[in-house]
Amino acid sequence: MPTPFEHLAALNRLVHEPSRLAILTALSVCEKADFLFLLNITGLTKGNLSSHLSKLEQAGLVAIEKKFEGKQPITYAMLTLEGREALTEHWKRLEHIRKGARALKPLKAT
Amino acid sequence: MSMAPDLARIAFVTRRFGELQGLQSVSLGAGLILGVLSWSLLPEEFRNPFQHIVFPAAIGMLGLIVWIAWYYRRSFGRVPPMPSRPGAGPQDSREILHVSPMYLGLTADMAKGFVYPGGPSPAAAVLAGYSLWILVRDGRHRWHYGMVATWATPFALGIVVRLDPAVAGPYVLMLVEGLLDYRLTRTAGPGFSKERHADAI
Repeated sequence: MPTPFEHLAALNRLVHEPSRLAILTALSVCEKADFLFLLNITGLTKGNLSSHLSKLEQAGLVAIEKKFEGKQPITYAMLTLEGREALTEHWKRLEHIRKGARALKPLKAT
Repeated sequence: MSMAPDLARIAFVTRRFGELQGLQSVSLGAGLILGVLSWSLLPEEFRNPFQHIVFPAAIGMLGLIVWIAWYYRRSFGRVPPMPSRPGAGPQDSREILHVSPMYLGLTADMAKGFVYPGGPSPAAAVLAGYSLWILVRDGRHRWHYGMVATWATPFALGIVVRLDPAVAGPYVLMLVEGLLDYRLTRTAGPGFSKERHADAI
């Protein structure tokens, strides 16, 4: 059974980064969300959000859909099956780390 | 992102985004309160609460509610809700449907008023029941629904029945509920506190 440190080392850094974790968390509870909503909920700048979404899309965790509603272009982001699995796996690892950390006893100062 | 994101809040607001559009309840509540106030200024013999309060306010506010749903999409973004079951289409209309129980209650109030004026208020009963349901489901984030359920109960049971501005009680509660939901959405993410519109993207 892996130790908490092994779980820590095995964390998916692409998912663990706070901004990307916020994006993935939001997308995990809806079918899809548009760029404006993600901008608002994460508080990222347009450039940063765009960059994080590109990274997530390249890794296959998020799919991007561009469409028109009337004359307005809308960019939707949605979690792929792979993205959902990666996020679930990430939460499991964090839970293992949390449980492992609780079992640790600090060394007494001599 | 300067602070660690509150992931639980992000997940909650995203999941319930369609329901958290509190300005719809605010507008309906405000319309009904205005109706009650104008009704109280009428001579006694012309006072029909259902003709002068419920009907005009409900019809007027329905248009406003559709406009508010558009405002939310434009200013806060779009989050089509999850399909109710696999293969079903997204329930986009749910954005405005969460106020529909209140409309049903108001209609019941109106119908009841023709045959039995006064007494328990179906609208307040709907408000109390709906608030209780939300409290049980989302109590951690929407605790204010407990307050609304408690205050709406005397109106629902007919303890407060006087046909004077006191009938505005449930409508004030609706307004408060809506304002607190609006605040919840507004403070959910750092970006919601800034004015940003779809045009800017």
